[in-house]
Amino acid sequence: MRAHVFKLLGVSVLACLLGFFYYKSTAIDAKQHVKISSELRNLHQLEERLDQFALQRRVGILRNYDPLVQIQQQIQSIIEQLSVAHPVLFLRDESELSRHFAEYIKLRAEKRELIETFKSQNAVLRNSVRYFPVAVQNLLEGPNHIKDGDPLEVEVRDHLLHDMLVYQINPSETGLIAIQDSLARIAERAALYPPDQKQQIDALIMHAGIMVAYKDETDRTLASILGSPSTAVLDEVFNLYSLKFEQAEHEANLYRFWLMLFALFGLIYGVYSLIRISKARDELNKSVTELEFQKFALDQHSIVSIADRSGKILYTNDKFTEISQYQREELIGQDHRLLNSGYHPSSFFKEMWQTIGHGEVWQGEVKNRRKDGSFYWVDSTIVPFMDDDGKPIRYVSIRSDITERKQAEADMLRAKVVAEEASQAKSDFLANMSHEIRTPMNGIIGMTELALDTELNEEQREFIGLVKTSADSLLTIVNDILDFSKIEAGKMEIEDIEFCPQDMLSQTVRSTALRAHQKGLELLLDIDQAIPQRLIGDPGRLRQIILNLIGNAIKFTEQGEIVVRASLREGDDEARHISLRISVSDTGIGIPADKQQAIFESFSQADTSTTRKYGGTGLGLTITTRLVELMQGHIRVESEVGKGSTFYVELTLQRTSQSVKPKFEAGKLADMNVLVVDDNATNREIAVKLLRGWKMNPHAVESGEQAIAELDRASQVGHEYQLLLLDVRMPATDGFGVVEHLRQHPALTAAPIMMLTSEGQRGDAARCKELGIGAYLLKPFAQAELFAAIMNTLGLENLDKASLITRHTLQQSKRSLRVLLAEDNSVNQTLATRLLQKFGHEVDVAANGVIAVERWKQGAYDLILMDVDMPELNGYGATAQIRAAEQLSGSHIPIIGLTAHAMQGAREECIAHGMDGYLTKPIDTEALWVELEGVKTTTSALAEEVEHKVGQEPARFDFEIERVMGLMAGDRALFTEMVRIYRSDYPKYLASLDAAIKTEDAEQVRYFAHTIKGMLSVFAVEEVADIASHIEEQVGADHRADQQALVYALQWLEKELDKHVDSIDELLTD
Amino acid sequence: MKCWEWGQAHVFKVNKSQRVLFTILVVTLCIDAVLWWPAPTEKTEDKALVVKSHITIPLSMAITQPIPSGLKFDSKKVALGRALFDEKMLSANDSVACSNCHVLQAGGTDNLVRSIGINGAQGGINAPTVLNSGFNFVQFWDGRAATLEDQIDGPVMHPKEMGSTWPQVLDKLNKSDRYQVAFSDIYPDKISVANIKDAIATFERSLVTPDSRFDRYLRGDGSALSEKEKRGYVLFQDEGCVSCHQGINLGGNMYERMGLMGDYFGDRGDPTEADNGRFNVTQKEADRYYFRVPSLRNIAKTAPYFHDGSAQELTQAVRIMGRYQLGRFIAEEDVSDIVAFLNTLTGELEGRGL
Repeated sequence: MRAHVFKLLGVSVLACLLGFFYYKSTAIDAKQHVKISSELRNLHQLEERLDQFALQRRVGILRNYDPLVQIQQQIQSIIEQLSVAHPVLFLRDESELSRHFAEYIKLRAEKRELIETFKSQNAVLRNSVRYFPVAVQNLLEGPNHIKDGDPLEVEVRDHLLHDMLVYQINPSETGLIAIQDSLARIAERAALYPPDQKQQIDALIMHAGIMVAYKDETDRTLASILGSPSTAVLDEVFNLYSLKFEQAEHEANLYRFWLMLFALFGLIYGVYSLIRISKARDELNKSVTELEFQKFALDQHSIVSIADRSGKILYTNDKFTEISQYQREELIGQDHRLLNSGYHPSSFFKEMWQTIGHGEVWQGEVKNRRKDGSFYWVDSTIVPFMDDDGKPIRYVSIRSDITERKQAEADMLRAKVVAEEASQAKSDFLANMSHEIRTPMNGIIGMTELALDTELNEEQREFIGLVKTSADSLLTIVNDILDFSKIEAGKMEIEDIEFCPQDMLSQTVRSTALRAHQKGLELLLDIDQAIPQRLIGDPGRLRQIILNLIGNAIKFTEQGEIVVRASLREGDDEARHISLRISVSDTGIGIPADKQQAIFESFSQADTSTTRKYGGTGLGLTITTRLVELMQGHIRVESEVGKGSTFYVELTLQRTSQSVKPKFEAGKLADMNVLVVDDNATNREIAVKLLRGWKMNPHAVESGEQAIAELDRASQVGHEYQLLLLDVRMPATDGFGVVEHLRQHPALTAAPIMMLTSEGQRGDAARCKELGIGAYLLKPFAQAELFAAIMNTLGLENLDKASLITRHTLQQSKRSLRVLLAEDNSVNQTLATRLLQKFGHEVDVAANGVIAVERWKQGAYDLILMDVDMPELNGYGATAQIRAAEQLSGSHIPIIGLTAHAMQGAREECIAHGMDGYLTKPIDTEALWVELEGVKTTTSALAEEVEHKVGQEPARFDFEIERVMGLMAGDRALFTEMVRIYRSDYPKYLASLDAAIKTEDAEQVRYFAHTIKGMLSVFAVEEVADIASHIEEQVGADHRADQQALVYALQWLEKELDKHVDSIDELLTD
Repeated sequence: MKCWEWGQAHVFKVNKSQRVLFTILVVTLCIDAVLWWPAPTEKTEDKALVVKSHITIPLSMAITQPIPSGLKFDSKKVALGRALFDEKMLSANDSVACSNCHVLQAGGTDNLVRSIGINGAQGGINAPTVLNSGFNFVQFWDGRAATLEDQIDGPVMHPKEMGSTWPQVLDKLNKSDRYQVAFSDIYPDKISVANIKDAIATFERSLVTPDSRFDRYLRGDGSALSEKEKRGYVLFQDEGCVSCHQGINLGGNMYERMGLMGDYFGDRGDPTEADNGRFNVTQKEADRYYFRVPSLRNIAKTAPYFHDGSAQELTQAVRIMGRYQLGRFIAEEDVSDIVAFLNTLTGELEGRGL
């Protein structure tokens, strides 16, 4: 806008300048100048001619005065013309030219007067001059002439006439006097003559006088006329005018020059502008053409409309008509409201108007209505264009028809909902299936165990035993199937929790050790020391994987060893993630190359005969594979038929922020000499590696004989061994044999001895004691276990205090509770009721939630066990009602939820619904106590406790009969009875425990562990009881190691008891 | 129109409008050319050259020259002037026109000693002839009007002549459709004082009387004058009359004192204001008794003679002139010859003899 003003201003200024220059340059008019010059020259000429004419008249050449008159009239005419035509030039008082001109005019007037005077005088003179001779003649010779000889005659003729003639020719003062004298004399004599003559004489005198007088005067007048400076002044006027003109001309030239310059400049600018305009026009045309293309393209795709500030449609394209069915004429001038479908709220449009009103682009999806009433969706972009004042002047809308897309979206949404519902249905199905299957299974197994608990005859016991075994197998199969289904349904979730890989691995391996040793196989664990103490992953599933692999290894290996290795793959020590490789190698039958891929597929084993020979569903490895895949890991196998197989599982696990490598204060162990004796090379290797890791000095030998020889050599050399690690089971001389030899030859070594054994044989512990062996370590052992054992054996402190278990203190004393049991399933009702009653609690049963709530209102209960799945009103609902009612009373009764769901988040769900705890069925009372206590602690703490265990395996068990008798108050019969009960019960409990562990039924595990512990407390075997305690307390942990230990321990106890039963009499008699 | 076409239309309309503008320009120029084409100027060769209200005559060294025949004047102006010359509305009471005192066919005067103006008022001086007044160097006996145009002011506004004022005259003339038409035919600014004067003056200038016997004689026709008349002409020259009565108009081109050689006014008696002559205009003592020398053409028709109209006849006039102006004794027979000569000075007005 401003640019325009400036341009306009510039042009105006230029125009004004040009106009000014032009005006100034034409200030002089050459024609006019010529005219004025010629007029002035004319004047001059006329003045000169006037003088000439005057002279001519005086002289007599000119005989009339008309020319004098005419010339003066001409002069006057010119003067008037000049004055009138150029007043500025000639009449302006201040200019010299004007002054001179005025002077001239004054002189002119004077001259005019003179000329008039001259005319008159000259006329008179001429008359007298002409008449004088006539008068003389008349007087002297006329009819009335005077006498000849008259003195007058002489006077007149000789003097007057003569003098007059002379005077006329050459006027002089003397001449004049002479004439005057003559005239005087004549006048004197005049009176003497007669009147006629006298008249003549008088006339003569008069004319002579006139002649003389008028001649002078006339000549003088003429001289004045001729001498008038008017001509000179006129010349001056002319000069001044010429000068003025020259000056003006010069100035005008200058202005003309500037005019030309500016005009040229203007012209150039004009041409330049024209060129620019032409160029601009071409560009514009090009742009227009381009835009035409765009517009056409746009029109093919989009609905385009343009509206003015108020929203009135100014323009629509064809597509608009095509889609909306309104003709252009019906749209132009209308508001877009014409298309309102009523779908959007007014706030929608209000927001739109606000946005575009502020100059912002608005985009949205709008449902519009066609002319025929049908609807269509458009993806609309409205672009406001603002004018120079920042107000919107045009709104350009571009829309795409997205009706189909919207339809597709709606369909997809529906499909999604359907899919989600289907998925949800699957989840529910699985959950339910899980629940539905486990519940009766638990019932079967539980009831069977209870039955086994009762008085049965051998046949019944055998039958029911078989039932239990079958049930256990079935449970395993069902678990596999459920797991598999879960995975296939995509419902399997991998946890991310912190765990100790070393613990997990050692526990897992330990739990299978018995089975391996039973088959005569070595089971070894080799953990890379670089693996951090804590990682984030799913320990449960990892255990499952490793157990499966070990299980398969055991299954398919007849002799040799199974080595479980965990190593870090090459990678960054400091990275957030570590690549873990876990391998399970065996010396088994191997897998043929062509089957190596297939085994990972579903439902296949190496061949069908394998199933028959080795049993199993074949799902285990498939599940393992799926689990590995779910963990984003990789599983593969290397195998040679007849040689063995190695399964590799590669995973990436995340470090925790506090990952620390296992730190052992191994300072004190440094440079200690250790002798490792083991016939198994792998074992030797593992041991040496570990010992070297603690900066010890290990030396390995493979037999007892070699050991003795080495010790002998060493003692001779002075290379003392400070520690001995002896494998028990060796060919030829076994570990104990070596020890015996050493005891017999103490000179060989005084080093403490640690026994490493694959299996806990009965009597090993006693033998160890006998032989004074410091430690007895079960293989496979974890790093930390070895370390602790070594430190212990050497009498050094184990500084890794962090390894201590935070024991969970339980309220050991059991008091009797009034329990309200809300459970709809009759089997479960019975089970639970009997359990609770067995342990001394009072139980009331409600078959559904409604009854539960009513009962609660009526009676005073200490505890409600609320089954979640009930008809009428389920557990959550009943809880809600109770809690609501409690808002008023301010009381709070502990409600423990019962669920068969072992699914993720079951606990959280119970808590969320107002319950205080959660148990899985069947109920374990101790677990129940735990729950009651656990109401105060968080689940994560418990989870932590589960993982945080560095096993302190009691390496030896002491059975102190004296204490036992003390406990029994010397009652022999009681003791015997107790033993009998023990002997009959513990296998069952073990079995139950085993089943519970297998089904991962944490509560059951706890229950049975607790039961066992209870049994054991009678016999004052704290260490064994501790094992059971450990199992009981470590919820969700891998109990297999403990389990094995417990099994072993209980077996050992049985033997002890057997021993002592026989000798009890002796004790008593003492 | 589609929105994109706006730009197109604008872009290309420039050309079209340029064309339109150009056409308009050309047309306007044509119209202007037609309208403002300089009107053909009147051929000046046809009309007499008039300078300062005086008819330009050829240069002649001789005493006099014949009146040029075939002098042409603007016919429309002459016609209008004639009408105005006869127009009594020029006087206050619509009783007196110019032609009352300057009767054309009577020689251009009223042949009275003094003219009678409105309401019978007698004027102060003898009326000079209007004929050949275009050749006089000034107008009035005392030369107070330099031009014929200026002269008109005198009688129109003189209380003893027409006694009117120009506004009155304009008023009357404006009321006349005839004059409206006549004036607007000639003058763009119609009726105005200047235009009235211009018309009357042009008419007066047209009142030349060529082809007198004397003019024919000057042209070479020896038979135009009789011997007596010839003798008279010679005497006219010898006696010194030509001292003052010279030029084309045989006078009318200089001032001279009445009573050069004698006390005319003393001898005549009854001095009047008018007798002071030029003194009335210049207030210079030297100019007392000076008058414009009258023209002698058509003198035979313009009795009585002199400013005071004191001479009824030419012979008387000649004698007075001889006595008071020339200081000569002209013999009777010479006077008679001169008078005979003077009678040959009568020309023809508009082709008709006077």
